[in-house]
Amino acid sequence: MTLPPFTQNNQPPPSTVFGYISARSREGALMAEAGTFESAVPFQADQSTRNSARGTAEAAGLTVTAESEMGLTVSGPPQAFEELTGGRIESYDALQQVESGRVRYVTHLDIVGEGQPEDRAVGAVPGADAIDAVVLEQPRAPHRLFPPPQPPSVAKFHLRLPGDVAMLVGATAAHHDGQVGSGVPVAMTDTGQFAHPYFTLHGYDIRPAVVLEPGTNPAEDPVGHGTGESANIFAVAPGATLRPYRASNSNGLLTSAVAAFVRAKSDLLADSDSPGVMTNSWGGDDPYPPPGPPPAAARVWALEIRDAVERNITVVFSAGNGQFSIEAQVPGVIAAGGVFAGPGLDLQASDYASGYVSPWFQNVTVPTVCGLVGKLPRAQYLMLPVPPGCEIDIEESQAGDGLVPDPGDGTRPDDGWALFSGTSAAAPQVAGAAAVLLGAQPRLTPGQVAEALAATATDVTVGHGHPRFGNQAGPGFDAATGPGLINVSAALAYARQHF
Amino acid sequence: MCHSSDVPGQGPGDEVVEAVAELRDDASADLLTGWCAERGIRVLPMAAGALLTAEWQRLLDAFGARASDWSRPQTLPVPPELRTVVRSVTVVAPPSLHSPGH
Repeated sequence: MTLPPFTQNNQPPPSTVFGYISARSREGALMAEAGTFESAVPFQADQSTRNSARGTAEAAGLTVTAESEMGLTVSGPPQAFEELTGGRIESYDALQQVESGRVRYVTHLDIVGEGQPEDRAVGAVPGADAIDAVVLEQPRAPHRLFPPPQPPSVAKFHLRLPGDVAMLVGATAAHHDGQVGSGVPVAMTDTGQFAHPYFTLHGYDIRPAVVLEPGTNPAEDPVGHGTGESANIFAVAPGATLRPYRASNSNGLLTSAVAAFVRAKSDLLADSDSPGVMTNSWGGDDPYPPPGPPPAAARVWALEIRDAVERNITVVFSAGNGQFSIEAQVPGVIAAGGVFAGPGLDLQASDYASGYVSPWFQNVTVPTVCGLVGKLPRAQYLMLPVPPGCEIDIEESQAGDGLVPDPGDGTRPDDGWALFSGTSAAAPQVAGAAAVLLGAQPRLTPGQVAEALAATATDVTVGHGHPRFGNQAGPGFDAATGPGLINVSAALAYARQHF
Repeated sequence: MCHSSDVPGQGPGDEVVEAVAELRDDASADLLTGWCAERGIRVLPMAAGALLTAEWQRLLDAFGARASDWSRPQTLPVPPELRTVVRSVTVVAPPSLHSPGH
């Protein structure tokens, strides 16, 4: 695949932008249009002109950081540059040769709008006699460290996205028919969303993240979990619209998970009659078997989740990786469990995934249906894009400390790729499946989505779920894998026939 | 199973935490909202209660509770002035991510 030299970047510009103001020269020569470079003298400006340029810049909200006989270096918020030029600051990615001979997308800034020059990073300042042009600083080191958009090759058996996942969950035929979940909103509450070039390369629609904890950066994902697992959504529903909600603090802890869920629900309900999907790859953990009914706080939380379902939002929670948590058990929630597909495409229950009959809610078994999840001990199974050097990038590259020798996933700790999964991967896969169904039939209820997925799932008869619960897979429905692995195309056909 | 880098028994201080307030039947959250606003605690209405968010120490101070292991749910004492409205307040531990290593 040939990579485009420039791609659109929907991320907001940084809070501080650096630039250079070219002061109008004594001789009228324009620096941006210089044809010869034998001397810089023709481009020098009078002190009075530079003073005037400084005043104009400062009035717009910029700070002058240095001065030469030709111009001024300035810095300030993007709004100040927009005030100065009347244009708009936009981000774009340029494919560049960076360190160690690698080619990466590097974020650049441009000034666009009516009256602005075509040249990238150059802006005009209408009405300012003392200023010829504004030039935005070009990244000398990467503006952000961008990993390669395509993953490395590693020896450990794994699945690649989007193709392997799409094929194994039966989504490929649906995609060929144009059923890709076009425009269906999928709200994902997680650790954050990093603008990895993998997503840019595939043209996936990702909105700016909403942050819930003050002071956290919407463009960052300190853990890499949200970024990586979100790729599973698009593997199944490449046309979906991801709405990330960052519930993590600066340390990556999900300190605002409930607030993010409530906010995401509110936003989805405000937008359309077909509110879409919520996917959540996290949860608490309670004693199993529980000593009694759910505690009060859990009841309040469960009702909040149930409310989302009743308002026609398809809510997906991961079943857990040995956890027993109320979220996955709430009636109407689609709990995503785990199935492992081996090198021979043989299916077995993932022993990493929780599976049990709910002791709290009648007629509820976790999981509702399964996605693709690796196996113990490390479930290093899906090659997922992550922020370079994030917690997951480092952890998964390191050797395991268990009894069985494990050299790590074979990637570098800073290359922006890692092998991982968990039921954290199953939930966004199932959410993607829901998005495909809703894209074809927007009026489906959450119950109908769940029914279609469950009725057409591929039965898994081998293996067992997480040892904490000790449930075996067998013919038909079981407490390890529920009805089995989702089959998106079959579910789509079912929904068309029945609803 | 909660992911925490803090030593149990020591609060996270400035870390933001969430607490779920269970309201009494047919009670309005207005009294709770006003009370919390005076103490710098944010209130988000929920379908069957209210979500309180604030720095851990601020929450403890407001409810007159002592610091404990924040990695586990902790029930806070309901002040007398809120008892007609609030049945219970529980600090919820940050949930864990359902991926390996977390």
